[in-house]
Amino acid sequence: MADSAELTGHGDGGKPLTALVPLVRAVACGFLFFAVGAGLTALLRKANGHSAWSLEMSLAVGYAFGLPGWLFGVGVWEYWGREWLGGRVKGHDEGPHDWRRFFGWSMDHKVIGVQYLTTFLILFLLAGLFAMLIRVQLLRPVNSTFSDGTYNRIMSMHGIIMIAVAVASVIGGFGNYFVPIMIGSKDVAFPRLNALSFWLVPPVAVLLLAAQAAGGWDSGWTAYPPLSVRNASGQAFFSLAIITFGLSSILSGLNFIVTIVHMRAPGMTWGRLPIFVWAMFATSLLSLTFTQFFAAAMLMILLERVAGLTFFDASRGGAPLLYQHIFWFYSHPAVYIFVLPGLGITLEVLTHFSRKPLFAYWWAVGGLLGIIAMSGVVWAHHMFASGMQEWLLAPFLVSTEIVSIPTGLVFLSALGTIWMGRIWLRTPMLFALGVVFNFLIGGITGIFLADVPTDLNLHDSYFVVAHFHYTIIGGEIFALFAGIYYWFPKMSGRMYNEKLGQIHFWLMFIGFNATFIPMFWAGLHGMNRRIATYTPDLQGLNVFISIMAFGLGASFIPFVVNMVYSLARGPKAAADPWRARTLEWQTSSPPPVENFPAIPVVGGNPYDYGVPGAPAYAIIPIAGGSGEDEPARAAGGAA
Amino acid sequence: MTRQLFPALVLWIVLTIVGEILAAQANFYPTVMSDKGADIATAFRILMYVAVPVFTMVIAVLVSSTLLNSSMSFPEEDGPPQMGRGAVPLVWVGVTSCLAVAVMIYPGLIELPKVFKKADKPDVRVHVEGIQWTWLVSYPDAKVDNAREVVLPVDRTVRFDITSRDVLHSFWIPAFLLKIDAVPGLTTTISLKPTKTGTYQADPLLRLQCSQLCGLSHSRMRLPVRVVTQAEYDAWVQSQSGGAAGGPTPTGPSAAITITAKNITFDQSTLTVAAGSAVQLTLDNQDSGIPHNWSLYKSKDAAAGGDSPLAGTKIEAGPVKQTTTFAAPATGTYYFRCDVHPTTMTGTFVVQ
Repeated sequence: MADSAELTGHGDGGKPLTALVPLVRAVACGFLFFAVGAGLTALLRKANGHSAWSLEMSLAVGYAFGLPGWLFGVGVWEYWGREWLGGRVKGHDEGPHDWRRFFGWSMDHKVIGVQYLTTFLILFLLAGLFAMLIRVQLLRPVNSTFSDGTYNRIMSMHGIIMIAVAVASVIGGFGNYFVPIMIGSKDVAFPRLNALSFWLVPPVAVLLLAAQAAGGWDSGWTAYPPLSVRNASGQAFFSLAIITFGLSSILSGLNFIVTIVHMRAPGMTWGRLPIFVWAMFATSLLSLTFTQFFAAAMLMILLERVAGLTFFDASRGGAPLLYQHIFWFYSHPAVYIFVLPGLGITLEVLTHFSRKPLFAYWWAVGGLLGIIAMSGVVWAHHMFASGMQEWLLAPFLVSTEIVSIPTGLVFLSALGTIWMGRIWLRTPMLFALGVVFNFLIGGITGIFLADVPTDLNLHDSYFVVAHFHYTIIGGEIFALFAGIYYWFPKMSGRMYNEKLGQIHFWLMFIGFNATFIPMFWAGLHGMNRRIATYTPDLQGLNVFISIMAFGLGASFIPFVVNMVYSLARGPKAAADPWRARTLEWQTSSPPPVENFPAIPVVGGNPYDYGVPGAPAYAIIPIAGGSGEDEPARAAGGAA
Repeated sequence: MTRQLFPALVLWIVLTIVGEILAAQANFYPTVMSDKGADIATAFRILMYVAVPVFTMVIAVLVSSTLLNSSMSFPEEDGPPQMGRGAVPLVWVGVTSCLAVAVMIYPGLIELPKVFKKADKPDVRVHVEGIQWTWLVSYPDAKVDNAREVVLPVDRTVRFDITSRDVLHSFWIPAFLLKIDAVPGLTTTISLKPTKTGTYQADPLLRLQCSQLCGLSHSRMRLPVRVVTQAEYDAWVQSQSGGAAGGPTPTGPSAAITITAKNITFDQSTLTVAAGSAVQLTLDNQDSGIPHNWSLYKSKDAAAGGDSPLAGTKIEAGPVKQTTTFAAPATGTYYFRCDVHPTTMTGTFVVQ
């Protein structure tokens, strides 16, 4: 049986810092190419009678060169590009095999999944720190902890980093790690593309941080023009960062779709697909087709800033509202990109920890597909107060209300699954139940915003802030933690500490609800969004919110302690500590490099708990046997 | 089935009754001062009535399942194999669809045109232009401009014609429950009838608040709103259009001060005059195309709190020189600022 020792023993036992060599090389390559681009720009500018260096133009052109430079340096050349010129590329087993493989180009979806998960957990905690700073400022109606300008920048950073976490943490982390295993495949369809998707992320972080040195940007994460065309140069960095991040998202969407369509194990029909894989499939359809609009909106901002093109400047024939249509055309489907994988994890955990089949499986799938189908025609509900043509209001009110129907089907499945289930209240289940509660509040409060008359008062107020934190944190982030605790033993080979997990859940659940419920009230009482100062009558409410928010922040301490301690010293985990049926539990913890000793043959349903006479979900034929007659290793049988 | 069904049903009914009572009693909107605002507040409450049973149903399932059937150790047996292939999903889809359609129709589509109905012949027309970072308010029919507060007569139709000079802003008077963005290149409108009198000092919801992130001083971009009787409104209009703010010509020794606005800063942060003098203040706005003014307030808090300025000049784009004459207030320390740039252009005015 393959085990983790195989994966940690290889390597030349070299000095730890050698892990960073590929990265340093890639950074140098990136800067070299950047210099070429900026140099070319300087020549062309001088030839046309301008000064050689213009921050934004030199940055944009330099980056267009520097990004491929970084990518070539980090692994695209060695593992992929050399082939284009007839050379030999490195194979899958030619990188480091020990801990250093996490710090460089790896084409193993499990390594990439861990890279995504760790990166985005760190970013989550960083953006959470910014949130704490926001709440410090809002302790007083007129506070000078931060100047107005600094506050706007902190708030904008909090927003975009959290959006990035929302897009990529579950999909990049758990999608990458578990979709191939759950469909019985060795890896994704395009492993090199997968690595590329991940290595597009560090430049995004670098740009957002470097933006601060150029004055940052104060237009939030939504970056509406005309403000975003006129403000500090950090906005140009922001635009480039989004375009890069969008590319990563599109490529990974493509990868998942092809993987799920083409690489399912024999016998894995669409009706036997785990619900998490269905959720990833639906989400990837959105990532693949809508993200381009986000990049387009950013590109237009950049071109208007740098090249004098007119898209949004009314005085020169442009239209500010054009941006909002393009931006929200992506950014509404984006919220389903955030939440659908999380709902998939939630349904997984609910069924395994209720020991019951997933209730109304095909209706749940229909709900997920219905959500993505409707998601493309509701965008202008973000624009009810924008001054757009009045005849648009009614159709978008109707389409937005309709989305509640497929969303309700997901709830049907969740509730029907736990109804009369034998519930095992371990930490993953606590978080999954938390998702059902939180997302319910998020969804219901959405109705007040979908209704145009009530939205006119609530738009751009703290009511909206509370609503989207309920859906995103309450829906996705709670699901992220459900997945972390659920799959921790599988990924690490060790079990987390249950007591610390429970403490984390309760502190986070109570802290979260206590922080965001009062914000609905603040919105109803006239507190608008994105403000560094507010009217004195709202101080009591804001002090309470801030204190609760500090508690929410503190809830992550037991989590971090648990993770660090359990990774180092946790008790070894079995292959299937949850006694669940899906394929990832039918292989070792952690899985071998090729995921299974042999490709599984699927013959039953993943959620047939308590179904009398249900066949095993899959059999993993040991090499050398005929598979069918072999009695050994029947996996995932009924209890 | 009945082992869980009965308690869950009871729980649902009890929670719904409690929830609906709370929904009926709760003071969601403590301040509603416009006719359309009242419709919106009603719509909100109706949506809440619909939301309560949905919410309590889910809670009933969650609570009954976890209280009756859960444990901290691995369950000894599996649950019943309920697949959900029968009538339950059909009924569910039917009910949720009916709810969605009902809510769409009322309050949605029925209230929508009422709220957006534009007053073609309003009693009062107010022209509002958003600039970074204040509102330029004028009353074209009453020939009032550069108002530093929005004064409206109660029970008369008012139409706001709103636009922006630079970036997106948003026109929101929380007490009226209506909002629309201020867009450069467009004129958006809000028509309503104020239904109660009130002042910003008594109720902070009676303010014109920018609610679209517009840069540095977005959070400070507010003007006080005052709803008064028709007679008081007429008197206010008179006082505004009858000459520059400042009242009767001050007596006393003359004190001439010149202050320059350049690069969005004042050149002096402290101005000092003798008590009892007639101050002749000249603002030299050297920022081409950028509006500034000079306003004197009792204190920084008074300015933020929406008090009217004690004295000041109009908001005007440079290059321009403006002069205003006023009697120096009583001995003490006061606060001055540019109302357009309240974060970066401030100072102290000392009378000694």
